[in-house]
Amino acid sequence: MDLQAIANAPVFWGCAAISVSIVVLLAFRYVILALRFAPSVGLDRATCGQAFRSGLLAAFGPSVAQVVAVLAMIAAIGGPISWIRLSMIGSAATELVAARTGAAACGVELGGAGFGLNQMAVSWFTMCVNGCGWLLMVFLFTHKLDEVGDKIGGTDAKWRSIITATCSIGLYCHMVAPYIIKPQVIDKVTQAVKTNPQLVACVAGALSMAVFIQLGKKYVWIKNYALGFAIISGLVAGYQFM
Amino acid sequence: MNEFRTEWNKSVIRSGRFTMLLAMVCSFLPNIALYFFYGARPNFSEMMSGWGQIAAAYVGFYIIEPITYGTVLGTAGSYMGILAGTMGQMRVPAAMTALDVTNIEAGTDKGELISTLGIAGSIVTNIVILTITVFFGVQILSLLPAGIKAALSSLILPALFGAVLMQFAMKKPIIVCYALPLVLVVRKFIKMPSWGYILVAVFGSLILSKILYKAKIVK
Repeated sequence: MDLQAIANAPVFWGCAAISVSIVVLLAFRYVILALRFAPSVGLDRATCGQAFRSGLLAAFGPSVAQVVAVLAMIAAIGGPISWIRLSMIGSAATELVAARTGAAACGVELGGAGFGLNQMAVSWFTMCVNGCGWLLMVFLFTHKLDEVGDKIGGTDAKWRSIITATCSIGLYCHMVAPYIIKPQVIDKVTQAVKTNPQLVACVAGALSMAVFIQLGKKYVWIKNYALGFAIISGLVAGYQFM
Repeated sequence: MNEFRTEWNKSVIRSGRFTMLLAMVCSFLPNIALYFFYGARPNFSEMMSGWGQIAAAYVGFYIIEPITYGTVLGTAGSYMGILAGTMGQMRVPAAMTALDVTNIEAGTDKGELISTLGIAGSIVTNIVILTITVFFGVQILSLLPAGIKAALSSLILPALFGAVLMQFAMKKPIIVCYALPLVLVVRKFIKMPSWGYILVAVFGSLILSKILYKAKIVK
């Protein structure tokens, strides 16, 4: 039987539906919990609704960014497994690395000659255990997070807010670093050296965000769309250099 | 910890840990189905070799990411964030936007609930778009010219990361003044695995923050 046909068989769509449901159910459970606890900290329903809606909108841009990578992944490993792996933990890049590593452990290439049923099983297994690495760490340690926070941060509220701010800023400095240290790239077609469009997108995204945040102070509705607008500005600016 | 935190954490942790366990077990279902329905008999030593190689590459991330993102996302946010993934791309921006729109400060009791709701919202969008992509992606994408496709997949993330950095930076601009140079210098001149860079970016910056906080330069 053809491997692609097996990988896209109904039983795996069933497995995928289970895994995706788990993710959705946890989110649903936490929404219920948050609504239940809201009155005890003085939050009203309307504010909770606003927060949820903001999250909905904020994820739109990044979700679209994934689309092309997701399709590449579906072509390589089939629909259901892509659906499972991407709804849980993985970015498309990480999962493809894991899929290839699994195939390489059998001495074959993903989807290449010699990649049969058993090799596909090893490849899937490798993606799973990799994902479980994160889940296991969270299972074992996340419930101690607040205690550790109390230990490092102590009772100094000001220092604790600086810890959070530093972690966030450090993380995103790490994210933008690859673009900044590579100001120029070589054009694939003309081989000429040109400005890195990703750097342009990054800088334009940052600058326009500053503008939209300022505007949001005056026009509150902008706050919900600031991130989306900044992404579009970055896209348009970067596109000029592609 | 106050009464709210104790009660909230108790409920969040109970569902969170249960779900992590369930997700780990269920993620092996496709392999189990391959074994029983299609007679796959993968070689055990190849499986272990695959596991060993991938764990060696990612074990740093297993440890570093839950800790660093944990401080930003909170407890409930961590369970959802790790389970659904792409924390830097989706969960943190969602939590930030939710806090901004409602004008509530991160790290407070209200902030914990607000960012939890924001992250839950982001999961809904994420799953809906992913599901549409899985079922209709090929058709949708064939309607777009190649140039636009390339722009969408290579430019959205840099624009997003730049925007989110700016969002944080405008709250505490001084931290960027030492965090960004530190990250750039280390990345330019020192070769290490990618999770090592995250470690330096977060904990290196934290050490500098501590020193500058004591010196009353960072407030």
